[in-house]
Amino acid sequence: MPKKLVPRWLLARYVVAAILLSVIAVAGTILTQRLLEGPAETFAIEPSYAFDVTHLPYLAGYADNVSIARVTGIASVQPPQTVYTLDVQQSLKGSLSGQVTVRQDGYRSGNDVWVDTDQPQLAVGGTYLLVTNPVLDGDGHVLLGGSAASVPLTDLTRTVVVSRYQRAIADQEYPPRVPPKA
Amino acid sequence: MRRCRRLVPIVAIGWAVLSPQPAFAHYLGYDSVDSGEIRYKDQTQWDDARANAISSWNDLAAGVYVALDTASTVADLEFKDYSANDTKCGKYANNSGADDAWANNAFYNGYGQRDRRACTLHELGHAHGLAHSYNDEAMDDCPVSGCLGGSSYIVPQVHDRNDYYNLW
Repeated sequence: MPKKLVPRWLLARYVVAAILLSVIAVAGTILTQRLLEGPAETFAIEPSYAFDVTHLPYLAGYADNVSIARVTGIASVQPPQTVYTLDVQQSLKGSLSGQVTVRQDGYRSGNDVWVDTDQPQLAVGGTYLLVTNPVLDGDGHVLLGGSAASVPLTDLTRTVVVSRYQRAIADQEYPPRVPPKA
Repeated sequence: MRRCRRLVPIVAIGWAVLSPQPAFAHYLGYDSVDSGEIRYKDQTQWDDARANAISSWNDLAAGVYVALDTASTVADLEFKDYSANDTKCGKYANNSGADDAWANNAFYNGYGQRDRRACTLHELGHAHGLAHSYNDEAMDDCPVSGCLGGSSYIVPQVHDRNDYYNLW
């Protein structure tokens, strides 16, 4: 008895139908998930400062470390903060080197995003000049507040930014009327 | 008399241009107020600063009342503490549920009563929807004595009150 073979054109139709169904199923799952999570919302974190964080010699005087580093990834999200992994390329103040972690206010949870109103979130892959202190009750470092504590660097701006912070470090001063660091 | 009539529109236009305008940038566009109330949960150790902030804002003659959350109410705000040498005496976070008013132990431990009260007063100002605004007032983005003006206000000042009354 000769075997009854499925014609090739019919087989091709089955394959195409299976692919289409899979695509519809995956898209449906993603869409349902998005609908359940609701639309993306942005929430603000408003920082209040203990001294003038735009005054670079004060900022440098309060910081243990001023470094140039590339953001290599996100280690974890610990609301209200994101913990980033960094590769330190150069240390202008302090002795940071190699792989370190830095916490920054702001995080993403599902579709929703929390942002520090004075400081854009670090971008993975970006290179920055970062002003930090060690974390008090754990590992790693914490990014200081204000836009001057996190400056994105490009080949064009790097020299100018670095020399401005080197001057600030030379003139650094612990901010007056601020309690000693914990 | 005719000269006076001519002067009226000039004075009106001059007043419109020179008088203080409603400063929309002084408002966050969000707040912790729910039906005229801020119901709070108390998770801070800085009770004196919290109590001063609540009574100072409640003393203003307007419609927002700050009170402790109860079993029959929904919390709108949580007073919390954290510890970091991050330059911030405190911070306010807007959330989909209860918002957060944080006090930074790293500074509060070294502060006197006045600076602790000033920073918590400022955070509760955010919960009322007030943004950072005038220098050397309670809603200055640097509200404690380590800042440029060197003042730390433990009650809302003139512009803080005006912004509050405009909003509520």
